[in-house]
Amino acid sequence: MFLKAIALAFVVVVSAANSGCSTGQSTPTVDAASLQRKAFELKSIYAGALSGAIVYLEQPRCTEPRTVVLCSSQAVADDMVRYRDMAKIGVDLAESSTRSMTGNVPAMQAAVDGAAAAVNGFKQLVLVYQGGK
Amino acid sequence: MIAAIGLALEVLPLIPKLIDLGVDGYSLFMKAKAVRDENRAPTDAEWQQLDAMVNDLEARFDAAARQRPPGT
Repeated sequence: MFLKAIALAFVVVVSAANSGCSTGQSTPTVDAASLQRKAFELKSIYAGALSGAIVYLEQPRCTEPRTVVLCSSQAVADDMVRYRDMAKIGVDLAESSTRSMTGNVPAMQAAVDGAAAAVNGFKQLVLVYQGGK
Repeated sequence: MIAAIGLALEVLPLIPKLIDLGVDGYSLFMKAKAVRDENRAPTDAEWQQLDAMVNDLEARFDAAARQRPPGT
């Protein structure tokens, strides 16, 4: 449900930016630089969340009856993959749209906002499951 | 100052896991903090370093995610 909400928010902000702005290319601005900085921060946070997810996923999968103290649930692993996929799309789009600093600033902002939502969802899921199930 | 605290709250909880994986999480945090404090866009070299780290982590994530419960 939460994942669907993030996906919907992502689509809405990107669509709104693309349909609502017809100014085309703009020259590099301070705003574009700050958006690129934000995209960089988001990718750093995404790297941290990935590392937490790896530690969880590398634990043996849980079995019934349980045979180890720390294990990873297959259902949670599947959720992490879905959230990671969404976050990856977000950070890749935010990076590609902000690195040149010559594009449409509202579209850059939409990409960064979408990435922030997706990365935050992934990070929150990872923080819940740090240390095993 | 408030912005730096905000960034710390975002990144610091994840640093122990980065260290577990042999990734220099402190360096990653300080780099993001420096870019923010200096109010500038990241350099190409900083992007390339972050991209390389993320590519490595994504490969490890995919490998770990492929694991399945015994007998399935």
